[in-house]
This record gives sequence, structure tokens and C-alpha cells, in this order.
Amino acid sequence: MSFTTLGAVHAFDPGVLPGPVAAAVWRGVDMVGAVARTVPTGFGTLDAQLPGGGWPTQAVTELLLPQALRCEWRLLGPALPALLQEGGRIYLVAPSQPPHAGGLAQLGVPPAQLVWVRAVAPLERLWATEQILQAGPVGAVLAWLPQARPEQIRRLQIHAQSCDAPVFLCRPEGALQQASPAPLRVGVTLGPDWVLQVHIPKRRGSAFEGVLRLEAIPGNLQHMLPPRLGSAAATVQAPLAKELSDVRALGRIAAPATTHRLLAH
Amino acid sequence: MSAHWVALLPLPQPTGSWPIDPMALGIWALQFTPRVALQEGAVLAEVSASARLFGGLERLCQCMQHGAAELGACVAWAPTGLAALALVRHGGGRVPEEALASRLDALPLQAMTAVGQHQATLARVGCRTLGQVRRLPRGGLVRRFGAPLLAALDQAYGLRPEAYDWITLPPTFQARLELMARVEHAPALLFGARRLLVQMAGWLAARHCGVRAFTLHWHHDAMRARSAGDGGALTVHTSQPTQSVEHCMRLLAEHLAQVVLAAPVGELELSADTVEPWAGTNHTLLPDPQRQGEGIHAALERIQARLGPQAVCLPVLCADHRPEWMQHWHSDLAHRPRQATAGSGMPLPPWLLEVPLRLEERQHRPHYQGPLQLLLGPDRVEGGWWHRSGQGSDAQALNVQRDYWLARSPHAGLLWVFQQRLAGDQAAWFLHGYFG
Repeated sequence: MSFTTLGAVHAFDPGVLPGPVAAAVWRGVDMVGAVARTVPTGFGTLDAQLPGGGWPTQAVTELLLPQALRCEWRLLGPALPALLQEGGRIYLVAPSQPPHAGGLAQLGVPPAQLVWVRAVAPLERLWATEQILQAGPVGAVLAWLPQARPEQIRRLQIHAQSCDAPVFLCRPEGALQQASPAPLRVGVTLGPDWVLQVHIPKRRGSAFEGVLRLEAIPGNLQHMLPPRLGSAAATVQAPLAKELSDVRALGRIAAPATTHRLLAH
Repeated sequence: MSAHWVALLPLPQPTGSWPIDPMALGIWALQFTPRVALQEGAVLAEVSASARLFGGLERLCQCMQHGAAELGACVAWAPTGLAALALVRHGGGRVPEEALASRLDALPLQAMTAVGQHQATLARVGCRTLGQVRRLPRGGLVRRFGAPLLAALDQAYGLRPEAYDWITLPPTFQARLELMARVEHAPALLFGARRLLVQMAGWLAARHCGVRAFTLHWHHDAMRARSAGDGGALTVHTSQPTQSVEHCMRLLAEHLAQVVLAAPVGELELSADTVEPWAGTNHTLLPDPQRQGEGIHAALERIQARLGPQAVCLPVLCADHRPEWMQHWHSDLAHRPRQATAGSGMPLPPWLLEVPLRLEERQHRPHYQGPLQLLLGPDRVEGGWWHRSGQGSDAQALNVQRDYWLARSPHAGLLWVFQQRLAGDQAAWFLHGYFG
């Protein structure tokens, strides 16, 4: 054995691994590489924290929301162009209020690529979601399942494994108390102004403790908002003042000098 | 090329129903070849020309075997038609050309009708098998039993050509099935309906058509209550022409699950109502996105069959400026209407409440889960006096006069609210959508 090799052994630092070894070692703090195709979310900071850098396909993703229909499109909107490629369709299963095709068209979902599945009973929602997942949809599936149990989510997860489209299950925040077989759980709450606060209670690989703050302005509002509304201080108190004056003008309270009607009669 | 004959003989007692009619079996067999003939209660089909279309003789053989098992028929394969017929009466099986003579020689006299009718005489001569008859002197055989016997023997052994009257495909499909046992629950009818659907799939394949609508009729048996009526019918529509038995079965199952029978059913009848040309599927090497679309189409149809046609909705944009009438939903999956462009300049929410929700007002400010902060507006939407709902005295003009605002609430996110003038000089705030 030569002297140089011995020297190399002495110089071995367990914290620093040689290149090829380091590439092969998976550390607990690393995220797992993507096992399937992912769809970029459109938010750089969120992509950086999701395994594979985007919404996963071949798996269900739980969106945990304090209230349904308050921020789904704000979160998913930037990913829509990638989802709608090649004639993909968006399947909405049992949202609690009807979607509006006009508004979605403004967000970039053509009416021809939108399917709304109405189901009321929890079992019907699950069954319809399962039928769609089994059929291999192209695009994305959003299902609102407020009462699903873990074993039912597990069933959907198994079906989703053969499905090359992201599957989002929108569930209430309370579902966080239960374990879930979904490999990715994303909690979303409304922050001040245009911010969505996103935390990731579960993902493949290391845990993520922090809260992401995403500036999520709906796509159809982006061009219409005046610059002053982009900041936190933006509050429009003017209509309030107008109303007050308006009501007073109707004679209930002694009318001040200025009367300005909001509605022209 | 040598001929390949298939003989299909209805089993005397298939499970659960009466034996299938040879004519129905023949119509089913027409999907494999146009050369199908009925012979002595069995079906003879010559399939050598179709082997390539079905991916080889082996595949065709499996295909027919599988279908015949579902319809309750026994199958035999032989180089000649009469040999196949003789074989199918004695257990079926498959005989290659070189083994034909030895296999036929061993069969008893009843295997061939032309020989079997002289069985008494032939038995006295000492003949028990076809082989023994064939070894008798031909001249004497003709003089004693007539020419038909020798002709049939020669045809069976492939020494003389065979000629049959081929059956033709009926222009419409209708099939009946008498059930062995009385069926009292509608979902149990599926078992019998499956055989009819397999028959229909055969007829459709022979016509290169797909079915858009089919009707299952059921007839109550004679022991029914007087009030029960004769029977009932169920029409199933599909959005795309299909030949798939499985798809039709699932749709029928969903519909039958909702049917309550008034009396036990003794007989089923299936008819194909709407039939359209069907292009079939191309076999490609690479995955075809169009094929994937078919799966989802069938899934949506199943959802409609179970949850009702309105369960799957597709949007149509209309040229209207009022948010409620800017879109409407239809459930016809095949229909692709012309979409108007969403020409409205104002921002529209992706969720719209069916009925606007009246908001509470405190200090003249709209409240919804706390005070609302109005961000953008007002957008005036007005008009609609030309649009009326209801009939006669209930008619009401769907006139709107609203000022839409984009509002923000710390708890409920971005909302779409409007202020509407009420009777008198009152005004009220309503919540109409979520920018969620």
C-alpha cells in the first residue's frame, strides 16, 4: 500500500462524501425525486417545495381548505395552461356551488374543456370520482369530498396510480386530524390582501414546517386591478361614504348637503 | 387454401334459459364470415377467408369459442361442413385435414343424417361406424340406399364440393329470450339480457354499425296480477355508437337497478332502435389519445346512467350580459354546440351562486362573514325585460338592475357582490359569486 492512499484515508471526512457517492446517497432532509410526471404549479416557491417540482400525477393531492370554493382557482389557476394542453379537460366533481363557464373562460378554461359532475350524496361523489379516475382522464380532476374517510381516499389513491392527470381532492381543514393515504397534502388559508398561505402537512421525503406566502391574484383580475390595489394599504372606503349619504338622502336621517346616489333610478 | 368449417350446435340445456334459436346463432355468426348456412338445426360457417382479419385462425377460433360459450352453443372445426356437423353432434373439437378420414371413420352412423336414416338396415349388414359404411362397395351402396347417402359421405370426406344456401343479415335486430325461471328482481334480468346483447353485438359487427339506442322489453308471465299489465320496456341511449357488450351491460345494469318489476318476468326481448355506421378502432402501436377519450366518455355515460342525465353537465356560453344567462348547461355528451365568446369586459367569478344570497347590512355596509371591503366597481348590468320566465300569469320578466362590485373579506376571500334596487327607494346587497 502506498503512502498516498494512506494519506487519503486519513483525510476522509465523514461529512463530505466523494461526488458519485454523494449523488447516490439519499438524505432524510432531501425531497424524493418525482416518481411520475409533474405539472408546474406556476408558483416558483411552491414548485421548490413539492417533490418533482409541481403537482403530481398518478397520485391524489389533498387540498385542505377552511371553506370550499374560496381559493381553489387562485391556487390552481397558474397551472391551468399546462393541464389543458392536448385537449385535456377539467372535471369538477360535486362542487358546492355551480361553476361559471364565463369566469372560467376568463381564467383560461374553454367551455368545451369543462365537465361538471353533479353528485350530492357522499357515496355518489366517491363513486363518480372513481369512475373518472378509472377511465384515464386527460387534464385534471377536482373533487370536493368533505366527508370522505381515509379508506375511501385510499381507494381513490389506488385508482389514481394509473391516471396520468393530477387529481385534487378538496377537503375541509378538519380532515387534517385524520391520517390520509394521499402522498401530498396541501393546506391553504387566505392571507391578507392577495396572499394565499400554503403549508404542506405531508409530502414525500422530508417534512416542510414553514408557510409559503403566494401572491395569487386571479388571472382575470390581474389586468384590471389598478396599481394601488396591489398593496396592503389599499382600501376603498369611498362607496361606504356614498352609501351613507345615499341613505340619508332617502329621508331617514337628516340629509347632509351632498347626496350622491349609487344607483341611478 | 383449404376450407375451414365451423359448426355451431345449440346446447339442449344452457344454464338459465332455453336453447338459442339456430337462426339467431346464424345471425351472430355472420360477424365472422358472410358464408353462414343453417343445416339440420345447426349453423355451418366457412371462415378460411376471414382468418387474417381476425388475426389468424387461432385467434378467430378462440373468439368464436368464447362467443359460442356465452350464447350456449357447442363448436366443432373441420375441413368440410358436414364433417364439422357430424363432429359437433359428438362432442365437438377440432380436426386437422390429415386426420379427417380417421376421425370420421370412428363416428357412429347417427352422426350424419343421410346415413343415420338407414341405420336399421346398415346395422344388419354389420355397419356401426361411418368408416364401415364407407368401405362397402360404392355401386351397391347407391343401388340399395340411393345417391344422397353416397353424396353426403363424399362431401363429408371432402371428395365432393358442398353447396349451401347462405343466410342473409336482417336489416333490423330483434331477439327474444324465454327465461328458464321466473325472474322477480329487475337486476336479475341482466343475466338473460347479456345473451341478447351478445347477439346484438354480433349483428352490429356484421353490419359494421354501432348502436345509439336499444330497448329491452320484458313480458310478465301468465301468473301475474291483473293490475301488473303485460310488461315493460327500458330504452338505453348511448352518446356514441358502440358495439361493446360490456359497455351496454354496464349501462343496462345502472338503468335496471332503478326499475321495480310489477310481476315476475318470463320473457325478454331486445331490439336495436337507433343504429349508426361505426368506423371501428384502428390498432396502433403508440397510445392514442383518442382511444383514451373513449374510456372517459364511457365513464361519464355510466355516471349519467346511475345519477341521472343531468349529473354530467357541459357548459355553453350564450351571448348575454347577465351572468345567470351568460351560460347554460346541457347533458348531451355527443353534442358540441357553438360557443359564444365571453365578450363581457368585466371580471367574472369562476363560481356563481344559483340564487343570489341577500347580505346583511350593518352601518350601510354589506357584511358576509365580517365586513366586506369593496375593491373594484361598480359594473352595471341592466336589462332583460325581453326575457320572461314561466307561462301565463306566472310569467315574470327576468329584468336585472345591478351594480356589481368585487369585494374582499378576510375570511371568505374574494367575492362578487351586487347592489340591487328594490321596491321603493330601497337598495339591497347580494352575494353572487366567489373568485375562489
